[in-house]
Amino acid sequence: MFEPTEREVDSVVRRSMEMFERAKVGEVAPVDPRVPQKVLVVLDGSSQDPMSISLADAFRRRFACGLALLDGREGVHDNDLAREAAESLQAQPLDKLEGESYEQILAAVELSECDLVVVPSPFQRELDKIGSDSTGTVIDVLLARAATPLLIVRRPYSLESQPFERVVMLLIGENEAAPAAACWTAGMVSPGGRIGLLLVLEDEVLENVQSLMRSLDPDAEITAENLGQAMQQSHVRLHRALQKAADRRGVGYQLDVWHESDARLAELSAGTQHPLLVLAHERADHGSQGHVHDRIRHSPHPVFVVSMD
Amino acid sequence: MEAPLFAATEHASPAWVMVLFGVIMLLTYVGVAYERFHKTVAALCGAAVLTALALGLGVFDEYRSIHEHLARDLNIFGVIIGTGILVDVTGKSGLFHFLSMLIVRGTGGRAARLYLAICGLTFVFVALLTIVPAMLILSSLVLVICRSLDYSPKPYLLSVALCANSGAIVTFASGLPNIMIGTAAGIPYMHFLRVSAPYALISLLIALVTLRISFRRDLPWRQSREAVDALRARIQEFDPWALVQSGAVLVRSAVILGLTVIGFALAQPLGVGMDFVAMVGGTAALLFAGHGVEDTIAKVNWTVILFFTGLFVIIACVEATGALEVLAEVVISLSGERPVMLVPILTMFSAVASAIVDNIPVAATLIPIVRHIGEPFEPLWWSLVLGCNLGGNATPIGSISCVIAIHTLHKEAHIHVGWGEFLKLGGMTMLIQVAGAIVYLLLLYALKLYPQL
Repeated sequence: MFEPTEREVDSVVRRSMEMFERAKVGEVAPVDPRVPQKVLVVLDGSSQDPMSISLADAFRRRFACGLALLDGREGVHDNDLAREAAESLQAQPLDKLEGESYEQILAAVELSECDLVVVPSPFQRELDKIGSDSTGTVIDVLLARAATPLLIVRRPYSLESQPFERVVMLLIGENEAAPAAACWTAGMVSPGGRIGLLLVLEDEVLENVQSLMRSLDPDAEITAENLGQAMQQSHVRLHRALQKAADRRGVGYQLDVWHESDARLAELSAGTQHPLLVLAHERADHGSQGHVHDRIRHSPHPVFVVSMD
Repeated sequence: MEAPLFAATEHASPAWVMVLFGVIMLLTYVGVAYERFHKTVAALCGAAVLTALALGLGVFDEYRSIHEHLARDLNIFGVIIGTGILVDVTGKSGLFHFLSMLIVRGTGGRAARLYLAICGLTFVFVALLTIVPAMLILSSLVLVICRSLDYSPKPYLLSVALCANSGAIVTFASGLPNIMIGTAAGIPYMHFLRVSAPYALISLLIALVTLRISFRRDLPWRQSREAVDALRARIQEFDPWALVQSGAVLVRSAVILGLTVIGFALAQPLGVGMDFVAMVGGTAALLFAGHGVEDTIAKVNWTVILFFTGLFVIIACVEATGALEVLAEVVISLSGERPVMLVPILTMFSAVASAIVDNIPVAATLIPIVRHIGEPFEPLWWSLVLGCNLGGNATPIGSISCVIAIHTLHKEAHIHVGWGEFLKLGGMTMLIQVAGAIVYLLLLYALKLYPQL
C-alpha cells in the first residue's frame, strides 16, 4: 500500500484489530472426536444401496462398530435384501417392520440402539428422476424427528480406499447443533486427512443485515468482507476447538469464509474427490432447516447431518 | 579516489530552460506534498508538462528518448509488483498477526518487555514487509493489547512509528527509497546487510534509548509481582493459534518469504536481477499460498507504479537539461571539493528534505545528482539511504509511519499528538540518528570498509 488514505488506514486498522481481538478466546478445550458405535444401514432397493453397503463396510473396518441392516421399503414383505447384505457385512439384519418407511426407520433406530443412520435420498426412488427438486418425505421426517445423526446417501459413486479423507463442516451462522457436528467432523475424518470449517455467508443474510444497519445508521458500511470477519469472530471458539482436535489427531485443518456465490462452493460437490459435508441442523431455526434441505437437495454426494432441537 | 569527476554535459540546455524545468519539478513536488491533491496525479501532470516542454524546446531530440530513460528503471516496477504480491499473500495468511501475537504473549504483558517486543517486532516486520503493511499490523496490535492491559497506547504507538524508520534501512526491499537507490546504484542485497543493516540496529538502539527516556513517566516500567501475575493472566487470554486459518498456508507463506529473501541475497552471484527474484517470489505466493489469485493481483499497487512512472519522466526531463549536473557541481563546491564533506552534506540534506516532503521524490532527485558527482560513489549512496529513511522521524508528516501512528492514536484512542510534542521526541531522535549515521559512514570510508559496487 502506498501512502494509504485516512479512510484506508481506518478500515485496515479496524479489520486488523478485529483479527487480533479474535485471538482473545481464553482456554478452549479441543473437540472430542465422535465415531459411530453402532450404525443402522437402511436399504431401499435403489441403485444407491451398494453405496450405503460400501460405507457401512468401511465404518465396520475402521471403527469396529456394530452394523444393523433394515429393508425400509413399504409394501415389501420378504427380508431378502437385508439378509443378503448382512451376510457380506457380518451384520445383524433387522426383521421387517410395519408402516410407512419413515416409521419403520424411526422404530429401527430405537430397536437397534444405533448412533448413526445411513439412509438414501430420495428414498425408494432414483436420484436421476427426482434430481434436486426434493429430498423426499422420508428424509423430511427423519430430519424432523430422528434422534441420531444421518448420513444421507445421494448417489452411487466410487468409494475411495480412504473415505472421508476430507471432511468439511459447513455453517451459515450460529447453530445449537454445531458443537455436536464438530465432534462428528473430528471423528469421521480419515487418518492423515483434512478437516475444514467452512463458514458460508448467504446473500440473504448480507442483504438483511445491510438493510437493518442502514435503517439504524445510514452511514454504516456493511460489506461481505466485514460480515465475513464477524462470522469468523463469532465462531472463533469452535474454530480453535476443531483446530486443536485436528492437531491431536494429526490431521490437517483449515478455516474458510466464503460468500454464497463463491465458485469454490459449487466445486465442493463436483468430481469424485469431494469432501464429506457435515451439516449442523437446528430444528427450531428456520434458516438452518432451509440450509440443510438445500444442501442435501443439491449434493450429489453423501451428506452428514447432525440435528438438535 | 578523492578527486571529483564532475564533467559538464556537452548538450546542456540554456540556463533559463534549466530553471524552468527545475521550477516545474519543484511545483510538482509541492503538488505531491499537498494533501488535497493526489500525489500520483501531481506526478503525472508534472511528467506530461515536462515531456511536452522537453520535446518543444529540443531538450529531447526525439520522443523515444523518454522510453530509453524509463527503460533504466523498469526493474523497480518488477520489484514493486513482485514484493507487493508476496506481502499481500503472506499478510493474508495471518503469518505476521500470528507471530506478533505469539511474541507479545511471551512478554507476559509486562510494560518494559512489551515495549522491547513491540519495537523489535516493528524493526523486523518493516524490514520484511516495508513500512505501511507493518505499521497497520502493529498499530492494531498495540491498540488491542493496550486496551486489554490498561496501558496508554501513546508511548507504544509513537515508538512503533520511530522504530519503523530504522527497520526501513535494513534491506534492499525494506522501502521504496532503498529499492530506487539500490537499483540506480546497482547495490546488491548483501551490501545492504553489510552496510545499512548494522546502522539500522544502531539507530534502533538510539531510538529505544531516547524513547525510553522520553516516556519514563508514561508507562509503569517497574511492576509489582501481583501486577505481573494479573497481567500474565490477562495476556494468556490471547491465543495466537486462533488467528491461524490454515497451518499449511501459514507454513507455505513463511517458506516462500524466506526463500525470496535468500533469493534476494543470492541474486548477484546468480546473475539475476532483484526484480526477477521478487517476481518469482510473488508467483510462488500466488501458486502455493494464494487464497484468491484475482483478488491479490487486483491489489498490486498501481498507484505507486503510476507515481513512479510520472516521477521518472520528470527526473529524466530535468536531468536531460543538465540542471542536475549543475546542482551536483554546486554540491561539490559546497564540500570544498573534499569528498569527505559530501557525506554530511548529503546525509543532512536528504534527512531534512525527507522530514518535510515525501522521501521518494527526494531520493529520485538526489540519485542523478549523486551519479553526476562521481567518485567516491559508495558512501554517497549510503548517505542517501540513511538520510532519506531516518529523516522521516523528525516531523509528524516526515514519514508514513508517523502519519499512521498519529492518525490512529487520534482516531482509536482519542489522543492528540501535536507538532511541538512530536518535534521534541522525533526531532531529537532523528538528530542523534543522523549524526550517528554521518559518523558511521565516515568511519566506514576511513577504514575502507565499503564493499565495491
